[in-house]
Amino acid sequence: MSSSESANASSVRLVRHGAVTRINHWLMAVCMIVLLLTAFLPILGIQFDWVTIHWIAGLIFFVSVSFHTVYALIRQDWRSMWIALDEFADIVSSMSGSLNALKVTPGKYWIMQKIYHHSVAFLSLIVIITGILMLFKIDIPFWERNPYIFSNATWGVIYVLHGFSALFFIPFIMMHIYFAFRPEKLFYTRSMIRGWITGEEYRSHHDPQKWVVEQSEEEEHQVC
Amino acid sequence: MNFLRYSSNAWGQRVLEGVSWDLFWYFVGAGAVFIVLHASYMHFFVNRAKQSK
Repeated sequence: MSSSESANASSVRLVRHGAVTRINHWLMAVCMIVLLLTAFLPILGIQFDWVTIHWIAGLIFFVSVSFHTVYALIRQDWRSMWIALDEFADIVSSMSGSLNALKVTPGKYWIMQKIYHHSVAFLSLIVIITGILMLFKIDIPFWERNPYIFSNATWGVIYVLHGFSALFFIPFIMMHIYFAFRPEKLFYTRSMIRGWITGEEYRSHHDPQKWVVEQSEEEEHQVC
Repeated sequence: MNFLRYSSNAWGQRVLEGVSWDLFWYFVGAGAVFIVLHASYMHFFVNRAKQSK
């Protein structure tokens, strides 16, 4: 790459996350933080009226996840999250963040990013389903409580699933925040705030044949 | 260490209440251990290898 191409690659802005995706991501993040705080602070001894905040945040989280699922299937390329079997060879080496350490070049997402996404999606599915069922135990504007729709044993299983999933979210969210602040991953965090990555970051971390990107509108205006 | 919480109902039967909250700190610890291990791996192996090139 010549010096002029290199300078161009670092100044060009390529869209990684559109505005809708970013807004929804941060909505999900706020909901998740509120849900974890309202779930675990009372357990740690900080008592407050957490139930109402928790179920409202849970419903917003449910709407946000549902929107994301539909939006990803209709407006985005869901195949960017598909994991090919040969990618598993890169599970350990992908943690170094070095493209040249990988056997399989990454498209929009690296193998560990996909595994993380699917793990969180699975946990979200469990907490949402069990959370909605648990709403039948409290009075909310949509219905009056009816704790007798399930036996005590069934309620116990529902609570166990909800609780275990919530506990698993703790290390997952810790890891997510940790990677967001890692120096070599900061450009991904920036892309979730401002939407774009540079051409240089694109070429050094992704296979252009597997992830075809458009130039950001802002940059196109600047070029024009 | 208990993984689950139980209580007794009016008939003295053991009823499953949910997951044991004693596990909370184990999950926090698991996240912290992963972060420390990964940060160490990046610092001592990956970043030093890059600097030596």
